[in-house]
Amino acid sequence: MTTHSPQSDGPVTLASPADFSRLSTGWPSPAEQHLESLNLHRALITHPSATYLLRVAGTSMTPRVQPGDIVIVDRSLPARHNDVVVVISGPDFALKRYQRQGLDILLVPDNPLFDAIELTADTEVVVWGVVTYVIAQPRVR
Amino acid sequence: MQQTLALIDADGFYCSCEAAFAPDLRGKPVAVLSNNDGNVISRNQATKRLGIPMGAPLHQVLPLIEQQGVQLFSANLSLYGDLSARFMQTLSQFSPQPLEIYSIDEAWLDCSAIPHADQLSFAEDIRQTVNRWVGLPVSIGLGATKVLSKVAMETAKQRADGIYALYDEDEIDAILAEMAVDEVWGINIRLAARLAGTKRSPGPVRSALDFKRAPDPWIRQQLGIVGLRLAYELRGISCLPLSQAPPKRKQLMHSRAFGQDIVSLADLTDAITHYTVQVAERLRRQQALANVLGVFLGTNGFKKEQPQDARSATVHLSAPTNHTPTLMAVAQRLARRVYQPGFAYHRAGVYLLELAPDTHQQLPLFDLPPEMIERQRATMALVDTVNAELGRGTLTFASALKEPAWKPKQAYLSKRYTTRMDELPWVW
Repeated sequence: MTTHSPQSDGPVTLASPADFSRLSTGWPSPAEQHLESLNLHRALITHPSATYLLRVAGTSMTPRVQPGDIVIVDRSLPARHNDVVVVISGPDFALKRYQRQGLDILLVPDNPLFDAIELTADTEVVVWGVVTYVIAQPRVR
Repeated sequence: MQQTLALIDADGFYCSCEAAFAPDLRGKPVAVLSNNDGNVISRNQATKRLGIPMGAPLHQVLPLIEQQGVQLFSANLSLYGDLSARFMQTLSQFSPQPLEIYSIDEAWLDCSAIPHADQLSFAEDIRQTVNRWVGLPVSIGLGATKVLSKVAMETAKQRADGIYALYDEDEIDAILAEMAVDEVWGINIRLAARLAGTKRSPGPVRSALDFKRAPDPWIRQQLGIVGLRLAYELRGISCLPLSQAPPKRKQLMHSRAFGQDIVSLADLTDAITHYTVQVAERLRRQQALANVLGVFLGTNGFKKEQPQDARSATVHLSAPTNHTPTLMAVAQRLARRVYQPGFAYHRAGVYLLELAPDTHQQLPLFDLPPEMIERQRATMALVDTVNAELGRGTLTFASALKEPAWKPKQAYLSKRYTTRMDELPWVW
């Protein structure tokens, strides 16, 4: 097990890979000192205690985000212009694009079939978190 | 330097966990039920206002719950456990010293290094961060000792901003004067009765302030040194330091009421087997070995019309172990010993006693050859790793597999939003 600081994106050993040093015959692997593997979780998630996975149900952000995709949402990040964000809209979570226009904040769906919402003091809409990655599954199950 | 401790407590923790991923619960009354859906164990503010008491048996309050549209949940401990871990991890960023995690939903943080003038804004920062990152509302009490921070936290719960700092002596006394002595942390009703009922009392000791001002020898006589420490803590003298590493438990138990009563030995053995898997996993997590294993079972004492029975049996293991199959075989033998035909059993449990640290050293008293012990250890480590990565129950033991008659009732279970890939919350 290699320990690793969460900030770094470098290689991480997940579990001990095959132990070549115990092979009794043949040449030792020249790669023995260079064994490493990826940890996707650590690479994609910077703030583990504030990060959540959500499954996409709707089409408000198509074609960028499709139903069935998984979004990785970091709640510790403040939303910036053009971020894809998760908002609480009525009884549901919904995806929108966060846009600043002058002093106004607009929550705009990529899909033109849906309406944009202006974020004002009396809108009952809250920005819940910022989407940092989208995991799509192009292969038909 | 004057010590300041912050006690951070999640409001209606189980209910808040349910609401964290269900925006439709906002503003509605919510209640969470105990294992087996027996009693109300967590209420949000709206449910408290309806007058549904803590601990109420579900069947008593069900009419009110249905009439008022209270949103009901079975205890979803996978969800609560994960959100608790996120809560504690978030808190630990605020202090270079480790927290003292007191329970699933409260922890102490030493903030002595922060100037008094900045402590309220520090607490506000904690509150907003936890609310934002983990979706949990918290209340924070600040005080010079654990007991005072607890008093401050209870005061904070009454206030809109959820934060209260108790530094000023006159203010402390004013609050303690309004507080019954049995509301002081560590003093229960029985001890309070002892304080009120003695002949040579220095005057009636009813409020927390009376207790704080009572003479030391008298307190010590009534409640011993433990009680005297509480009085000192109320006076602002710290006697209960933060124990930063929680003491490991000396015994472990897994016990549940069955979803429906069990009459057959086969069903009882299944249940005991399953409980053994659970308790053995916890044993290994705290890197311990058990010397003694016990099994108990009992009928439902509330069903007076049924024949009643309660039994238990323990054995000393031939060698200390945390190997699930070994423990399972012993537990199954004990289940056969305690089982009596003709009773409807309502509850059973498995417990492990005389725990010893698993030092990874081979002791000469082991009966098994060291290679065998090493192999057992490797198997268990693999099972625990796979289950931690892929979810509890991914790898289990053949005899723990049967789909059970005894499984607890969980009629109102929500999804395990944060720990299962197939139960993620939906976003539209």
